[in-house]
Amino acid sequence: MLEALKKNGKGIILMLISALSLSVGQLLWKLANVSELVAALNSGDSMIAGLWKLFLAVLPGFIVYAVGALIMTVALGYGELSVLQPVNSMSYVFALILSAIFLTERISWVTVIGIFVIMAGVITIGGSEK
Amino acid sequence: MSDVIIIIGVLLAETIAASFASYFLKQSANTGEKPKFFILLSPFFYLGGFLYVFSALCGIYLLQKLPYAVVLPIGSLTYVWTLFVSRILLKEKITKRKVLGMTTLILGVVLVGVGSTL
Repeated sequence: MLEALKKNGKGIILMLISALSLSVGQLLWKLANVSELVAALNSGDSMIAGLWKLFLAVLPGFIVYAVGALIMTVALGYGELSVLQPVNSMSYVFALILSAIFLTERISWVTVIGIFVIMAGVITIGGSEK
Repeated sequence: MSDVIIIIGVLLAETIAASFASYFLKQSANTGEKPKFFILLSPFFYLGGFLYVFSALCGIYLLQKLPYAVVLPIGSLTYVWTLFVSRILLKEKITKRKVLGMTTLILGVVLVGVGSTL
C-alpha cells in the first residue's frame, strides 16, 4: 500500500494542494460577506457602485478558486481518475478546519469523527494499485 | 410533489455534471510531449470548467431548498458516478479497495453532515 501511495504520490499531493485552494477560495468568499453585498444591491444607492463592490469582494476568492482548478487539472494527468478525484473530498476537511480557525465556527465531535473517516477513505483509495 | 422531482433532478444534475467535469479536465491534462501550458488551449479544459460552474450553481440552488447537512453528503454521489465514468470511458479497474475506500469516504461525509446539525 505504501508503494502504491508513493506511485500515486505526485497526483495526490497536487490534488491536496488543489483541495486546499478550493477551501481557501470558499473561506475568502465567506469573509467577504458576499450574500450581504448581494442583498445590498437591491436596496442600495447606486447599482453600478454596488456591482463594483460585489466584483471586488468576489475577485480574490475567484482567483484562488481558478488556480485550484488549474492545479487539479494538472494533477489529474498524473494518475487514474477513480483514484485522484476522491482526494478532492479533502476540501471538505480543509474547509471545516479553516472555518474553525478563521471564523471560529464550532465543530462537533461527530464532525471530527467524520473528518477522520473521510481521511481513512482517501488513504484507502490513494493506496490503490493500478 | 413536482418540487420533489425538480430537487431530485437538480441533485442528479449537480453530481453528474461534477463527475463529467473531472473527466473532461483529465482529458485536457493529457498534453503528451507538450508542456502543461497547453492545457489552457484544450477545449476540454473549458468544457470541464463550464460543467464545474454549472454544478456549483446547482449546489447553490439546492442549499436554498435543503439543509447543508443533506446537500453535503448527497454531493459525494459525484464520486460514485466517477467510478462508473472511469470504468466505462477510461477503462480503469474498479477494485474492491476503491469501492471500500469510497464507501468509507461517503460515510465520513455523512458524519460531517450530521455533525453540522449538532
